[in-house]
Amino acid sequence: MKRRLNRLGGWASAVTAFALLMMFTPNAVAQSRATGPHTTVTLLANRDSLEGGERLSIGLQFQMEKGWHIYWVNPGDSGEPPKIQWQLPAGFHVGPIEWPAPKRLVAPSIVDYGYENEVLLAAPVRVPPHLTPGANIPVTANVNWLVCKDICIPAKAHVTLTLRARGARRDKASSSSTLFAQTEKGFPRTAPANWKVTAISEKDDFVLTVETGKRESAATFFPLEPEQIKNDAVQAATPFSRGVRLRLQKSDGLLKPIPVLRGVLVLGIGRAYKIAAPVKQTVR
Amino acid sequence: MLKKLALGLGIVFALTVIAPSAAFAARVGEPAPDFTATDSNGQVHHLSDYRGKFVVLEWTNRGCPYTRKHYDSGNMQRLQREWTAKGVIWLTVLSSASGKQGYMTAAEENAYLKQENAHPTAALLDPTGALGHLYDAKTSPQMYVINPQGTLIYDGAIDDRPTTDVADIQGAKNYLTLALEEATAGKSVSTPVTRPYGCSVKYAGE
Repeated sequence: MKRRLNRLGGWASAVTAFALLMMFTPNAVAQSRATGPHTTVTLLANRDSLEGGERLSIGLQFQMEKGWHIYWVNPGDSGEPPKIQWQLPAGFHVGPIEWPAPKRLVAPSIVDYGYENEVLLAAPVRVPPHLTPGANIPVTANVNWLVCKDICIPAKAHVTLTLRARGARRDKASSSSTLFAQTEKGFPRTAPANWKVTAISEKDDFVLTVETGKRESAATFFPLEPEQIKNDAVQAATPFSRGVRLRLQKSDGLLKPIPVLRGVLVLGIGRAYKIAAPVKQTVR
Repeated sequence: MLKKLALGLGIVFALTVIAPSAAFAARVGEPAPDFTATDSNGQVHHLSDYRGKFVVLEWTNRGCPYTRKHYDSGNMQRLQREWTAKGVIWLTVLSSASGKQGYMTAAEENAYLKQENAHPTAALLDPTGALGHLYDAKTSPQMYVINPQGTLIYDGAIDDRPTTDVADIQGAKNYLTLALEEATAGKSVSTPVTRPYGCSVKYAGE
């Protein structure tokens, strides 16, 4: 190889060298980061190199300028959640996004659910059992999102990342693995089995009772489905010895009784739980 | 003495008419709250003026990308023309507070209607948000339909594609068209309430 290069003219050598360089820097052309209006979007993975059958997480990190926000899966009274289309080679299967616990975004008469400053929307990936060692694994995300402050701006981006199937040597974890781990800690967890979570449907309200086993001083409920509760109504919380009771005003858009009230219940910092409360209808 | 009494009663009556008549927000299936509002030509409208006709209320904000989707495509104007031609009263409502996106003076709104070739019966200027709050309008666009008996029969999104993409208009299920077609044919509205989509209405701060 070296002998052949020495025989080539200077210009040809330069071209060849450049071509060789391009082969070994997979991200030279493709970008894993894109700038949208008031947002920077970065495609990340929790590892740079993979072995067959391993667990992998990929995610889009949204970093918003101060005052700007994007939306949760149920955006609330207005807005639209980001829509991500992942592309991976055949054999890889991407699961649904694991949404971190949202924040209440309060404006006059309007309450939305979403994220400010920064959020990582991560999805689990099933890696096929056999990978060719050293092979490149391209990951692409096409994302459409709405970013708002007092006004809203629709945006889109196309970002790519190349991972590598591990060779014999064990490579170090990706530089983003800490971010993924931290985000994972904040995922709403399934409510512990010993909790009792129920709801009663009254004329105008749902009364949600959450028995955790100890007195809970605060609670905020984020509904998974729109048009069930009135997002801008105050959620009156009544702590009691074994938990907390929340009074949730029904949405004007709720036309039929619902059998289950699903959503995320936040009891404090780092205490977000996925709940599905069976709803008991009171006799009218 | 009698004149003074009459004047006094007149004032009391006028104040009653101007104030919103209901404490509750509008609910589908119930009487739509009566209101008094002024349009971009200075004319006063009451919902009760239109008893006997179908009325459409369309919340708007010219800067909102969801509203722009329906105006840049000509979709909203087409719907306005189609239904006003059939005798429906179409009232566009602007509830943006002064200084916020979508706020317009009467002159600006008239110029905008002309520029957009829009065809509402009237554009109601509601910068205090009183009408918006009465109907609990959350987004622009958000659509309401009131039947000739004064009952609210539709409240929600304009269609089932909650995006800012003009390409999503064709092929979308237009809930407004459906409600009007069903109701004008004497049928009950099959989808009377949907989650409205759009930008939040820019109400005055509390």
